[in-house]
Amino acid sequence: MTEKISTPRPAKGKRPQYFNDPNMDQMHAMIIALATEVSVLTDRFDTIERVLDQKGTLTRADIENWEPNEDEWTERRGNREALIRRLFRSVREARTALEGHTTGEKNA
Amino acid sequence: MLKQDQHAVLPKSSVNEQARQDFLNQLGKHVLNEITPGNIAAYQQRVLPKIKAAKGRDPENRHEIRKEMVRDPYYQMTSSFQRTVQEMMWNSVDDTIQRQLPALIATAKSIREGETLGSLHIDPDFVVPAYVAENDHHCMPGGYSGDLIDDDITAGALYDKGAFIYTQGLFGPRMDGIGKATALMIAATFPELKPKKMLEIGCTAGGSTTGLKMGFPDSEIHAIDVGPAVLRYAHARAESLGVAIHFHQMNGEAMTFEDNTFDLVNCPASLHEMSRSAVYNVFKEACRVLKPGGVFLLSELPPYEGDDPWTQFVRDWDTYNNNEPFWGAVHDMNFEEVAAKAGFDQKSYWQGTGPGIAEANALTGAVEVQNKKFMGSTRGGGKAWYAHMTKPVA
Repeated sequence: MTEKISTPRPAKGKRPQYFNDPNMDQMHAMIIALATEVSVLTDRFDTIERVLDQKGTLTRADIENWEPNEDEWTERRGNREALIRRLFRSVREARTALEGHTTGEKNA
Repeated sequence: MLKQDQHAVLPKSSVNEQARQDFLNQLGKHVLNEITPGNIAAYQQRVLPKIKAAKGRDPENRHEIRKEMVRDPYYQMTSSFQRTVQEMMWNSVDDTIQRQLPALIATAKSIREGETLGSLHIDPDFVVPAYVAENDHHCMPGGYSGDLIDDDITAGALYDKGAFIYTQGLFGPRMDGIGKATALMIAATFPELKPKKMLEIGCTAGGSTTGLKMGFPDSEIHAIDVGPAVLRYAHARAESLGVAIHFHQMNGEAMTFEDNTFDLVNCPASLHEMSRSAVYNVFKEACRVLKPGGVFLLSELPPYEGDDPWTQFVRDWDTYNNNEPFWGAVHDMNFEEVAAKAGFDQKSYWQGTGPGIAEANALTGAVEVQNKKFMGSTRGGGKAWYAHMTKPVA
């Protein structure tokens, strides 16, 4: 009934250039995209391991149908936060330097 | 668990799409809460001394601050992160929708053609106003008025699912927090108001409208928007949730409702998406369609007036970075003056804070509201800002 359509991207409106070199803007977007895909893979591995722990075998449908319970969701959230903190280590250090003090933060 | 309530037309993410959306949600929150606040140190240590040296005084307004801040590397970095996360979030939700669009369109259509509680009125001759047609607000691809295919519902689905992610669930699992909070505000501040017939201007996916209707279950409620796809989606969504709403494709600046029709007209945070002149027209039209003594309500983030230049600069991020060209202009407006020009009873004008979205949703006990920030501004956690005015009784 419906043919494939594509939503017009990017959104209409002026996109600011943030950095002095436009390549930096693109690099920034690429790094975030890459980090996102790392998180996607991590979640998928986690699903696979949990299904295997439970059933000992695995189908693609098992992966698609698996949904985390409250505890598993919280655990994943914690893992993601840890990934994000590692990703932003240098940024946090820049903030700390700007604010003129050290936080003594560990395991960054 | 941060999860949106399922309904018939809410697109369902695949495992990988969900993982992408979860990560972007968390990344956006981390940037806002842990990274962006560093800008105040960048301002105080690097930018403010530069402005003072150049002008021999403190900055007088947010524009003077912005002109220097955009050159600061820390601000460049935080803004680039915020903007990029926003773009990736919409694209990810759009992937989810496109994968199942034919099924979603068919579902909306079958709901429409079956027995319904409310109704849907699309105007085939409608002309979308330029301030919506030519700009994709908050970077949502296709914008509010996107209509890409017969019976399209994409824009509504994008807004419903995407805004849930980018507000970090703040609008609640049913995205109805604004309307619910508005109903609570009325009960707390204007308890004598018991509207029989209500209208919402700028309903998008109908989230607020269903929340408002819950507060006044016996009332008849109408909702208008300029986008046909958001309205088709909103109608199917409301029907699927069992809520009777009459949706119309209409411009709030020139409505086809008769004079003296409604007891209450509400703008659920929709004015900041309109041009300045459109806001004036909407106030006038709201006054016209209200019954004498009827109430016009609006909720927005509070006006900038009274905030220091730095706070105004922070709150104005969306104007320059999130495709919200009217955000700053509308937050600079004096609604009391606009109300007087539109014909509202001057003595009736009231503005102030009332129950916020977080408070409204805490009633359901079903949403996680930890985040107090919303793009450049703060929203949620605390109180919401409202204005209230009545049409004179002749």
